[in-house]
Amino acid sequence: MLAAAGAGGGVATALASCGGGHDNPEVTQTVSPEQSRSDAAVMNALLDLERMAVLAYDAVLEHLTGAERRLAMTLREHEREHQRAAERAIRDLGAHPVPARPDGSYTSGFPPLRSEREALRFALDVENTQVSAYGDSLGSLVTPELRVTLLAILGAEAEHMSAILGRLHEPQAGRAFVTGNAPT
Amino acid sequence: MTRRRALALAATAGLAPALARPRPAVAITLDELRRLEREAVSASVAVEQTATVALEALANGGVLDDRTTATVRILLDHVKEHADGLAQAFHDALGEDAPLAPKRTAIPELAAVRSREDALRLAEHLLERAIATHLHTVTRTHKGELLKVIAGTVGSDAQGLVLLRQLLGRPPVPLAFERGRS
Repeated sequence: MLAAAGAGGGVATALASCGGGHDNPEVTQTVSPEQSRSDAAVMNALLDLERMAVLAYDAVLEHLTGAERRLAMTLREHEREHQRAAERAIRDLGAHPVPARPDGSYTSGFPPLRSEREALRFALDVENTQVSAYGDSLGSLVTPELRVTLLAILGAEAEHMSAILGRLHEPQAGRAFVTGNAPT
Repeated sequence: MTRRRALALAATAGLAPALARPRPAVAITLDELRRLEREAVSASVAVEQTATVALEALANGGVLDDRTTATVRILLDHVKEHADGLAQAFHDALGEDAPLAPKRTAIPELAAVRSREDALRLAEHLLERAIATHLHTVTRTHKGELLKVIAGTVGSDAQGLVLLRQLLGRPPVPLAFERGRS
């Protein structure tokens, strides 16, 4: 058996008898059951983060009015869509989404929010954490199509950051590489 | 039932392509697999190079006001860093030199720019095309350093789209998934 490390992901299993030469074997890209389980574990961790994000926006919304509130409501709905996408991905991998923890186990770690600015700053922290988590997870996923989904969510979370920064009157695109590691 | 209604129902049922599903396994030679990877990463370098050349032309084209020019120059600095970073990662990961940047004449859309709105829409199109290209590239490569650079690049291109949409008077974050557009 031969694995094409790097190219495409998954396991490129040699099928020498089916065609190709000795130096250029014919291969088929598959994802093993162990790799599917690993991908599901990564997606479950991200699902947990999305659940936290929805609850964070619930808390943030209590302190916002007007345009800021409308923006936060849109972003919360996006987080819900990400949550549903993660759940579907986990099921497609033949696994089960981990049950949500009690709300308090997420919210107990939230900072006290006393003003609109603090609420927006907290939302920015949440988005920054998500960009970092999605970026770090990208290389762990073996299923190529899941990497596409992750990257599409990462892009949306980066856009959330930019929109929030605008409401905070701060530079909205301050870095050429958005990794989620910038201090917020 | 209209097509739009059918699509809406499909989306509700989780059948819309919001989440890409695994493809069936197809036999392919190892050389072909590597060629596809090389082509995909090369395309990612090329879209950022094209954006660099085009945004420079737009910034210097005389159709933008000062505020818009300042924004386009920020985006220009970023896409140039993306192109350089991706070219370096391409070389390090695949052992080959990245493609050369195109000339302005190779970007025909530039000739049609007559106004600030034309310029902003072209800039938006370039960033959307870049993101769509990068999303395809990650199906072809699983090299960690390349994925890291691509992730940072997509995040930045997406933030650039927010600035452009604001200048165009549109909602800054219209969708929950940023897939770009080919």
